[in-house]
Amino acid sequence: MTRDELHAKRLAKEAETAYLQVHTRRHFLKESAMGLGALAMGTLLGSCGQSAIDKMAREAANSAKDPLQEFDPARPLLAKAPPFAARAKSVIYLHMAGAPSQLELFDFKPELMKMDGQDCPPSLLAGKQFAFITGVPKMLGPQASFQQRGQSGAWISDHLPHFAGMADEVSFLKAVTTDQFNHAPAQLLLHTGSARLGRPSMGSWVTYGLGTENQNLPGFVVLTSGGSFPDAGKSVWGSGFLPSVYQGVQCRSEGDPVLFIKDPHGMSRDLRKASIDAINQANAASYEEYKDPETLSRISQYEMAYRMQITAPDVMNINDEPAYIHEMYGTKPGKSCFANNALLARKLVEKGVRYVQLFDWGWDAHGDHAGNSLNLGIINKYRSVDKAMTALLLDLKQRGLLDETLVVWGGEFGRTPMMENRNGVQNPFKGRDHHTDAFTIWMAGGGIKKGFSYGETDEIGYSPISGKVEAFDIQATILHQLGFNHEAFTYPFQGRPFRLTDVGGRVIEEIIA
Amino acid sequence: MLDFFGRFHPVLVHLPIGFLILAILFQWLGKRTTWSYLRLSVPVILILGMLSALFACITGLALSGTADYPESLLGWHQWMGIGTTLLSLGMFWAVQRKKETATNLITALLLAAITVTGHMGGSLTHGEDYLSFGSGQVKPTLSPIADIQSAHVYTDLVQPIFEARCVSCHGASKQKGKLRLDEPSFILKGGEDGLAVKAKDLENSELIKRLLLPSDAKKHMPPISQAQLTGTEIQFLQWWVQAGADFSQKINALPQTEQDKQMLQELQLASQGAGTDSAKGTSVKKSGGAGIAPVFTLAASIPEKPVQPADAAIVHRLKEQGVVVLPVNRSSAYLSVNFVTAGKEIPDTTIALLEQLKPQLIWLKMDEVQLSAASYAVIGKLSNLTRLQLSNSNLSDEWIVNLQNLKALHWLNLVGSQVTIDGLQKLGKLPELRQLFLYKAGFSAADWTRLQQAFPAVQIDTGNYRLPLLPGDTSLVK
Repeated sequence: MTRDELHAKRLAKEAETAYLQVHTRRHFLKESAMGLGALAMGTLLGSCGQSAIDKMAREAANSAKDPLQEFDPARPLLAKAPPFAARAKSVIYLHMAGAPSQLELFDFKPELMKMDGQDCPPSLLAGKQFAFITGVPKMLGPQASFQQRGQSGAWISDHLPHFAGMADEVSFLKAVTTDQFNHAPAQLLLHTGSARLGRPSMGSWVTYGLGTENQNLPGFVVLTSGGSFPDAGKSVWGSGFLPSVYQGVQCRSEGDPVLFIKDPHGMSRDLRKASIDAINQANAASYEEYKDPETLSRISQYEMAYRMQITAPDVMNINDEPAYIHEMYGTKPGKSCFANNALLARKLVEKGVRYVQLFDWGWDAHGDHAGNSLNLGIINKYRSVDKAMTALLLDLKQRGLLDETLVVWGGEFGRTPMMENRNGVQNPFKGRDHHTDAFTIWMAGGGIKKGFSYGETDEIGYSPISGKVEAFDIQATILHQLGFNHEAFTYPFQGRPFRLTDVGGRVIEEIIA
Repeated sequence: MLDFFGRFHPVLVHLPIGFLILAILFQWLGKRTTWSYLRLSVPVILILGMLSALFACITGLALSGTADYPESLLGWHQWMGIGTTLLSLGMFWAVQRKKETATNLITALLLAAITVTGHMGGSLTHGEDYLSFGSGQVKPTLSPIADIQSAHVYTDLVQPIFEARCVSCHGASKQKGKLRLDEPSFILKGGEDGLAVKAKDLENSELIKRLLLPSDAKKHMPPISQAQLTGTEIQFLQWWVQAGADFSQKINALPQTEQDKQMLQELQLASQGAGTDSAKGTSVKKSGGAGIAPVFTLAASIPEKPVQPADAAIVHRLKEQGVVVLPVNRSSAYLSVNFVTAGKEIPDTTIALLEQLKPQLIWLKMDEVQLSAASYAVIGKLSNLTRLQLSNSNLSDEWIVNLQNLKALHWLNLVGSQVTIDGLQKLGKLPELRQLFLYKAGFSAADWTRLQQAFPAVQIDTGNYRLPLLPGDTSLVK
């Protein structure tokens, strides 16, 4: 199928949906007592439109005879081949919500140490807006000691002693920028390509484009830890204008992975099947009448939920893993934590889940209280992810999964080289404000170079001096590794094709092996 | 049995040393009237000292037969030990008879005997140069080399490496495993486990094999408690043996590939102290340098040669069985097949269908499957496969021979299967193989050398990674 044909088909589909919305409204009028006058016209319009769409659907079905290219609207998550040769089959995105400080972990700035305690030069403040900093803040030196690690000589601080051993497995992006200095819009921009609500998330785009190989599990799973959801809320894994079947399925790492996954006492598996069949029959009848594609989503979700009742408890149960694996990740069985989620992420990817999104909340190192101070509370955050993320890379590697799984780690923005002075008053603990101009993200596996670093910031880590990348570039690169051309991967909506990277995005070829 | 008792010697020797020195101390201090009560306990301490000295002698004799200690030193230690025991008897006699002069003489002799015997014992276990200033620091292996190509292979490189890392246990004073590495004639002679170095034959060079064993293996050399050779030094020794284990030539007279030249260059840099610069951290080293494993991508395992599309009927039948069949990408007719939702017991009839996809099928993923011998034979015919995953399957040494015709394989995942080194050796040469995953399969650390020899150009991952529990992993900073 050529691109034009595909486009024509999608336009037809949108026309159909728009028509059906009208049709449904008319149906409401028909059903209500006042709608008698509209009845005749509605039926008239309905029947002529109907036949045209039926014809289009038949043609589409004929063109998709090839069993390798088929698209079954009742099973929208069936695996599809990527448009181009892929370097990764799955993605695990580890998002440190709240934004970790690049200056304490990866971006070593000895010059900043010399400026510690001095007033911030006015040149850095002119024309800038910060989330909290007002007036003239003091500079704050690195609150960590750094060493070069591995053959690649990447700088990794002593806050990540386990991850330091992974220097030769990952590629660092040292000059990532964003244009959003608040958590929610920055998270939305990174994961949906827009700082405003309403766009599909990256995981939704990927499952829409590739489906998933294991039909017994969701294609896009979200796991959260750290005691709170990311500030952007569930929209950050929402499906936007894509059919809702592609939204992220949030699973719990404590108790049952999905609430009510077990049949209630007294309900047998057969009875469950019979009731789901009955509901689906009713839904199918409803689809016949209203042709709302969301009804198909609902049918396929019921069916997947039924299959998941068998497979999910198995895959989601980390208790079956041997003790040494638990020790390696540093899990806390029965509790909700990043380490449990990291282990779960490996198990899901092992079973063919396409996109696993982890959010770990609590990285917002302002220093307005001890819990988010760089040298007190935030150290606990470093320690809570260091072992688990290292174990995740090693565990994927030893199972031969790292070659085909792209692992991404990072926050939504960086932290200022200045110490935060909220409302012009120095914060009581050492902390940094949100910083949009420079932060570090690393990627590993999935055809990314090992032991590599791209991009540089200036002497104090304030602005990029080379290799600057932005959220769209990260998205373009992730899509590229999965076998997409981010410019051609579109979805028609509101009369124009939309894409994840909007009108931006450059594949960061420099880090691709 | 004798061995077993012998092993208590290093523990027991400390008892007579302590007891007898205490007895001597109390005897001397008791000369002052204010401390004369100390003398009351001297006979009891002496009896304990004598008894423990006796046991130390017996266990010492048992131990002397079990290992190769330098004979002259061992003889002296033995007789001095017996002498010490006899002297303690003499002191007991003198003390009981209250013979002041004899007691003074014997205590002085006894103190000297204990000191000398103890030092000899220490030299036997830790090497003769153990008690010297500057010990405990890792000795630099090589003195700076200006131009490695004109350096002398033995005197400038091999000898200094052996001197720094091996000779303390395999030298003039100590010959563990009856091996000496301090002179060319001894090096060529080898030890009790055979030839240390066999020219141009890495497989029969015990020294190379021991160096390459994983560091936790029992036979790994140097022992894990000692300073280890660097990766480049090991590569250098491998090259040296491969090039004929020569003792007289200069480096540039020996055959070198491009890789060898690079390795030698690294050795030269290391000798000039370049290797330690990174700790000071002034300059960032070039990214993506040597020593980082190459990346093999999925995309690279798709053949360039085009292929006819697969038979749609067969694809359809496989899909009915729950098998995921997909083109590797939308413009390719090559296929990827995944059994993730096809159950665990796969019937032969399903596997037989794969044979009809033979030209197109390049990626086959079967995790946790139980197959029959006939099915493995079918898989063995899929000669276009570039990636094959049979993790956690019932693949065994008996059936792995089927895979020896898969000459296009790049990537083979046998994680959690029952395959052992014996089976893998039956595989023979797979010329394209680049990555081999053997985590949780039937391998032990001792198989590592054989594995590396069987698959010299392959990245082998036996997994079993462990992360230590660091103090901060559990504690909370309040």
